[in-house]
Amino acid sequence: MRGQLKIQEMAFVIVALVLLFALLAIFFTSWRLHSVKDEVTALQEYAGGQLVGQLVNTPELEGPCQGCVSWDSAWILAQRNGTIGDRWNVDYLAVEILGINQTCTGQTYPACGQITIVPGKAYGTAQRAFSAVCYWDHTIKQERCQLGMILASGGKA
Amino acid sequence: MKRGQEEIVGFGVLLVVLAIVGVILLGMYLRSPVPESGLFPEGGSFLDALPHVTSTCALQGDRFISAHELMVQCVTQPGKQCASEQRVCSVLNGTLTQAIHTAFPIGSRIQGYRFTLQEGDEPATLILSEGNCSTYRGDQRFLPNTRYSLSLFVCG
Repeated sequence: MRGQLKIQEMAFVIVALVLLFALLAIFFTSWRLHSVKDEVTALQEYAGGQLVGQLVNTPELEGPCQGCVSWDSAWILAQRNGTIGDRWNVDYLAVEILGINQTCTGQTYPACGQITIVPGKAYGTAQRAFSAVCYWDHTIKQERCQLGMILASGGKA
Repeated sequence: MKRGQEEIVGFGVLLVVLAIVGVILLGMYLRSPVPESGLFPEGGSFLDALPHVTSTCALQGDRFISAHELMVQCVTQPGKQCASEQRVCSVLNGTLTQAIHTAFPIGSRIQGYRFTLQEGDEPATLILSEGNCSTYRGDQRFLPNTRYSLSLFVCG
């Protein structure tokens, strides 16, 4: 009888230990997965910055300063109905001026906030990077640059 | 060995095993990358774009100067005034705060930020911060053609 009791005690201890290690393993795995997810997000952002950086420095989009985008050039490119997308190997490309929520059309340009140069149908998550967006401001009679964003999705191999 | 002694030995062994596991986990945690040094490419492109943004400060015959020029003016001649009679540093504060709030609105994704402008290793000339964070990720850039550096760290 006493021997059975000891075996039972030992079994309980073994089960408790297995549960403890299982919990620790779950905790550790979730912690590692969380950090891997952060690293993936950061690398996606980095890749987005690289792609957008290349696009910003093309003569077709380049503004009056290094790394700036010309709002007028973006509008002219948008009138080509996305044909530039094949040349630049992008599925989606848009330029935004932050803080202005109006989409640009023939009626709203230039006092609008978003120009879609290459309209993607299903582009998923676009890669994005900040850029200064510059245009001639008639009210102050000089070139004005505002904080903007370039959104791009690439990968047409 | 009596039954009570056996149980005490078993308890002791259990404590030793737990301590070993704890030390291993602590070691792994301490060796993991520090979040402050995390990549934040959006911060880099923000710092690249920010100096080109046109400010609301008019100098030199009503020409509105860029944030780059405004930062230099604030560091070298902090008492100088814009055409609107506001001090350059005050306008710079407003321009930078607005840009940061527009780019990184504080909410679910971003819970706080810390922006600094400093010359070399000197103490920061300008510090803007909001939110209460323990760990940050961010980036740093030199202001072109100057000795000043900008840094932006966010948390969330």
